[in-house]
Amino acid sequence: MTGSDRVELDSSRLIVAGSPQIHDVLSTKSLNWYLVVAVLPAALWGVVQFGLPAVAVLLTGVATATLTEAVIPKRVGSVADGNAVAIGLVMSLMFPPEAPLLLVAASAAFAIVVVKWAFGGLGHAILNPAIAGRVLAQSLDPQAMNRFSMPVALGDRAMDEGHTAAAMIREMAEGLTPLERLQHLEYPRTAFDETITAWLNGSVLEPLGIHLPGGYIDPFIGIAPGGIGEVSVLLLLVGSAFLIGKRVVAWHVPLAVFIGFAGGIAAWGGHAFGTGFFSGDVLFHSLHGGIVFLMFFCATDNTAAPVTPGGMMVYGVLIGLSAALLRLYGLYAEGLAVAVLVVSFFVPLIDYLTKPVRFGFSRRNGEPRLYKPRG
Amino acid sequence: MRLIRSILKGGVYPPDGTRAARNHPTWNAMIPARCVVPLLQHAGSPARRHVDVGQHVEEGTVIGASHGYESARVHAPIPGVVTEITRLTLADGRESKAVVIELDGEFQQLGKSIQPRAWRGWKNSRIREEIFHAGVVGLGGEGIPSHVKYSPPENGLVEWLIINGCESEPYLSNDYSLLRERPQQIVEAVEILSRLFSPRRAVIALTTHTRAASSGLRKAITAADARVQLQHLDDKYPQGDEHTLVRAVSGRAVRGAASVTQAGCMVVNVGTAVAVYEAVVLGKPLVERTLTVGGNAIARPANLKVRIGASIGNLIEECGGFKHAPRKIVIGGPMRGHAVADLSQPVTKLTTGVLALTEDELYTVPETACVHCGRCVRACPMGLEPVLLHLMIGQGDHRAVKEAGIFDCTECGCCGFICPSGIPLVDQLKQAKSWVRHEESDDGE
Ligand code: SF4
Ligand code: SF4
Repeated sequence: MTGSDRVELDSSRLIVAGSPQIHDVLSTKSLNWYLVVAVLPAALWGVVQFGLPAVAVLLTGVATATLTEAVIPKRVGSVADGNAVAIGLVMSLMFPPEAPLLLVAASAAFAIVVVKWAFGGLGHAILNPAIAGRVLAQSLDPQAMNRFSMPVALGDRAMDEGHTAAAMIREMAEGLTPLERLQHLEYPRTAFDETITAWLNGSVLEPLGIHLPGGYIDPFIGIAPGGIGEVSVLLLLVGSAFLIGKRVVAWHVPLAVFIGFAGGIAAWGGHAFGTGFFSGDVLFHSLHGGIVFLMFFCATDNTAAPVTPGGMMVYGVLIGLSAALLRLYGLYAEGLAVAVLVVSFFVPLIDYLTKPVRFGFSRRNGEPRLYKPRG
Repeated sequence: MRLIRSILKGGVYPPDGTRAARNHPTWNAMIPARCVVPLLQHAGSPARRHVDVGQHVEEGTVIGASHGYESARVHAPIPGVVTEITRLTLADGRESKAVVIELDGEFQQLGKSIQPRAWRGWKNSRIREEIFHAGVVGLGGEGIPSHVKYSPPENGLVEWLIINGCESEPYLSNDYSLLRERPQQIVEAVEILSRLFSPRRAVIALTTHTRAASSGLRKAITAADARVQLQHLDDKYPQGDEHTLVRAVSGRAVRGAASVTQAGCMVVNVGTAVAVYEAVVLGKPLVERTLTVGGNAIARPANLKVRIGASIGNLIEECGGFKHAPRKIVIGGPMRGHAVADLSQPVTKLTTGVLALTEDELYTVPETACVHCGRCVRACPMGLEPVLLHLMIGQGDHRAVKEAGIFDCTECGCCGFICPSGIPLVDQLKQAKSWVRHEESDDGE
């Protein structure tokens, strides 16, 4: 080392603080921005598929949330921490592409002002602001919130009811599976779906003794009506893999939501359509209607979730179950995010009941362990 | 290949930092011309001053006598003249008297080879005495005087003797350097300790980071025909803590507030094992230790063998000084160590490392309100809920805080490291411990 490379000590710049002396790379700020980055692919897909109206909804949601955050007088937090942007974006991604902009703006402002700040800001809210905004919009204008336009990939074969597949299949006679219902309704399907399904069956699945009916590939890719950011399961999975890889979200909640939802659909999914218990089509319901978005981007929000790993599992399973029941028996097939709000109310109880077993304590009686010396 | 076992829950993977130092041979730091030797270099009560200003001391002269139940002897690290008795604030915040020695005269031991002593013919009491005379304390950082720790536990037997070669913290590689360079001494120390405790099993625990030392150790074990096994563990922090280590090796878990001897386990850090070897076999007092000088701000990170009482500034100088501007100077490891603003701090028996960290390594996070993420709960190896403790402390409810297990907290730092809201959880927990004790004594009246 030559003298010129040396740096002299500037004691005035030394920090003296308690341990630990280093910190993990993640902060609340980076958590928010990672979340924003993770939903971007699905958001872009929505913009491509639904065009200008979708752009308008997203911009309105994000801009309203950000501006509201900026004008609220407060001691801590700022727009730079990304929380307002994340709330605005996640909320508006759950809106139908042609939602009235005034409704979007009102919901975003409500999310920030009432749900987030009335309780004292980030970390103090007891409900997830993005979900609360979505639910508010649903109750203010259920009609508008359940009218979905077709993606361009299906555009020339548009169905004019403005219903998603998950909603449509509810209006049918008994005794048909969801896919049969869609066929019956002449629900459009792309040639791409046919090709991929045929290829999958021919080269992968049939040797394994499975046959995949057509119609699953479109919603997996994101060629389906639905909330702007909710339709592309593939891109949502990509974003979630990023989030989990970066340790922004823990796997507990998404896994548990899926377990709860799949269990609920498997058990009652057929019953609701007159094909009996335990005949539900889990794949169909997972690909349609925003459950993947809910699982990774709503249910994982920390604000209202339990803090114990066990609690997270219970919380997730309850959310999944309620989402399944809402899907099958609720007033609307979409907007399942309300399940998160409902389960949030039980979080203090869940946390209390799922305390971790302390190190050196017996799982059975909760007493400290004692070892008898052996001679 | 042995099974890799690990802490079952909790823990974090902090960055590796400059374990770069690990593969260079340890070198002997220059003998300091002036040593500041604190009389409190261990857990417990300070040693009592045994020399006066102006007195001449030899290397190894007792300058502080063990005083009280938990205390250890302190020796002169260099020959010279006592020029001053001062007071100083140690890195961990405790106040201590210190003896200042200016180098003068001949070294009696340095560089001379010492005939190993035939300890095998000795009684256990003699071995304990030698350990006491040499002022050996736990060198992993906890600093419990070894003669206290090794005195026969009241409730019986040591079933497991575990030599902790896990490296107490990230960034540090001083234990590894000993494992690699002195396997014979470590194995002989295991034999000495096995004589003391007659454990059913003796194990040297290594992690992914230190396992490269295993071939040398295995050779030493075969050569000495010693009854000791190697155990490889995952490198999750805090694997090297007594409680998690005992759990991983023996399968037994005792609460943080209790000593692992209650599970029939004795954990000895490799640095301490080497000190025991030197004390018993060579009759050498503990006047030097191996430590890591590291962090990205250090030009040439290294493991050094250092005299107690040398200033950390000298060590940094010997490692080429700073190549980047440091933002924190840490004595100890990054998870439990203490930040200081003063390079004149002396090395003590407890100094496992000296780190100079740059801004980029710190990831300082501004403090915001808790966002309820549960990361601290998942990170806590003791199964506590730091977020809950944080809230209870805020509410001032000392009974609830105690009930929630604050005294089981080992202050490992995982919760504070991981909290995205930058809440100084560990500071709060440390303060709350004394607050709860205080409130309890008030309740008692
Ligand atoms: S410092 Fe204490 S509370 Fe925090 S993780 Fe470690 S043991 Fe748990
Ligand atoms: S890690 Fe920090 S922000 Fe997360 S729950 Fe614990 S205290 Fe709260």
